Amino acid sequence: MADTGGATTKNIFLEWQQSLLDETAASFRRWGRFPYLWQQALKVQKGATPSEVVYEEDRLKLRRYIPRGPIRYRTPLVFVFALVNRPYILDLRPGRSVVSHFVDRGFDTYLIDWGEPSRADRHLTIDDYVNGYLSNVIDYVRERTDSSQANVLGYCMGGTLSSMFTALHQERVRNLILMAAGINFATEDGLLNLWCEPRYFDVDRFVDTYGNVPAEFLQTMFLMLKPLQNLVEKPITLVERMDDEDFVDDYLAMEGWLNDNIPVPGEVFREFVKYLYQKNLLVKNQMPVGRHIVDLRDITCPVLNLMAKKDDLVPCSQSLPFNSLVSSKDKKVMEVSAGHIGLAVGSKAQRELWPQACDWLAKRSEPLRRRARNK
Amino acid sequence: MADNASFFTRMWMDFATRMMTAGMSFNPFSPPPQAARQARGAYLGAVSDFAEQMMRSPQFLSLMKQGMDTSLGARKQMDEYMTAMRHDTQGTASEDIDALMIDVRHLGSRMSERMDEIEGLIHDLGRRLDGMEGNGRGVPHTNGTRAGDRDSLRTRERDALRAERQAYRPQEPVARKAVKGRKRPRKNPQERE
Repeated sequence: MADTGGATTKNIFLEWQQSLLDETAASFRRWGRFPYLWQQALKVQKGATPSEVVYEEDRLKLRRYIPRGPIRYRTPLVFVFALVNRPYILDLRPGRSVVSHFVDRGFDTYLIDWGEPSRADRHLTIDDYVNGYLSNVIDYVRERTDSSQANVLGYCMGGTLSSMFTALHQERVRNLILMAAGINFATEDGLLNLWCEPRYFDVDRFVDTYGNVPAEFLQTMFLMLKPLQNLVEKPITLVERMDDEDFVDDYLAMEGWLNDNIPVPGEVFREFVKYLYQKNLLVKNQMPVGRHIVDLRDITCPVLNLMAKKDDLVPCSQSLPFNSLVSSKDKKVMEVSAGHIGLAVGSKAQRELWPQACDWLAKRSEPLRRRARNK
Repeated sequence: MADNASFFTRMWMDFATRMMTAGMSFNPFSPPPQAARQARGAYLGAVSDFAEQMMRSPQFLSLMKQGMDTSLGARKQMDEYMTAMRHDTQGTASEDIDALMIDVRHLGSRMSERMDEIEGLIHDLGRRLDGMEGNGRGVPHTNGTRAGDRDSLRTRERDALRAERQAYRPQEPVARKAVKGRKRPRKNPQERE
């Protein structure tokens, strides 16, 4: 018995020793790549699908993704991104692109890049975006594709804007897809909801003082949602996997995007915080957009609501009520175990969620019967 | 003060308990790097939860508000100073540009409202004309109609039109396109070919 115990102890000791040697060698290998990290960061390619700008208005640019095969559906698809950050996260890298799923399935796909607002844009309101820019883009796309309606996919704040647009202009939207869209703000699951409470945050004073909301302010707020994960765990993971080239490329592309913030027009921010975060008017069907009041019951088209279970920015409890607030009969919820960004570019979402979302949209889109339109 | 103390004591106790639990789950058969990763995971998890709780606490929220108020106050003071300085040197401050921008926006919205009204009027007129053509009445000044009849017909139509105009409310949201104007879309190079 004693011999067996001794042998076991010896084995454990040898395994420990081996693992320590392996870890030391791996550490040298990883740190050996560190000097080249900067070069790799410069080489990281952003964007997987070729695109062209087909429409411009003020700072807005509408990108059309050039299809690799024939267009199979008459109804075009328009991606509406948030006013925070830049929209290339939806087409980040090959294998991490939401756009390419739809392009490859034969959808005529467009993406709205709102551009970087200047000080002159501080007075732009949600009305300017919903009934101005977004309305013009949808009209242009409808004209261009000779289609009476468009499919709209809104991500995050873009989802909220898309839901407002659809409620006001239902006749122009065939299918609505929301990705982590904030709808019901009367929840304290997310820290942002708590921080935006009127007793802790005077949005009027903030906007009156700063004008546009500085990008650095937004970046800090987002980092503060998960400070340990963002500032400690992520760099540790990078060091541990620095010898994995694909991981490093993904990491650098993602971090590059996360730090590529843009300011938000002041009045939009004021309306968003005051009417949504503080008064929750969208759910009450009292959200004012210019001279109109958004009534979500006016939405009758098929709705697909996509959510991330680990989303700390827009928790599921914020998005889920949307389906019970609209009049649509055809509505569905899909969830994936990912975070806010993982919903778009995460491996699981890319593997499982997006093919299903494409199927959902394909079943509800009008097929193109005439010869392939591939302009 | 006592509340603050008990809040932090509770959080630290919770943190210490979690760390102890993580330490007790140590398995001697697992290699040291793996055990170190587990311990690190437990530590970061505990600290992360601690941070989350702290950021939800009224103490932190009050502190955040206080910090923001101070920062906004300083910024405002700076802006006021810069504005006064520019005005003193006959210059234009950003405040003046903002005021001008607001005026332009108000002008734009007034024009937009006026154009909506005109659009409504044109819509009504078109409908009236269509109705008249549909009834086979044609335009009022037909041959054989007495001047008095014609006038009374016009008066009736004008009254009806006025009533309709008053009742008219745009049912469909009107896009800003008409006011903002749409820039000429860039042509697709492939299409051009």
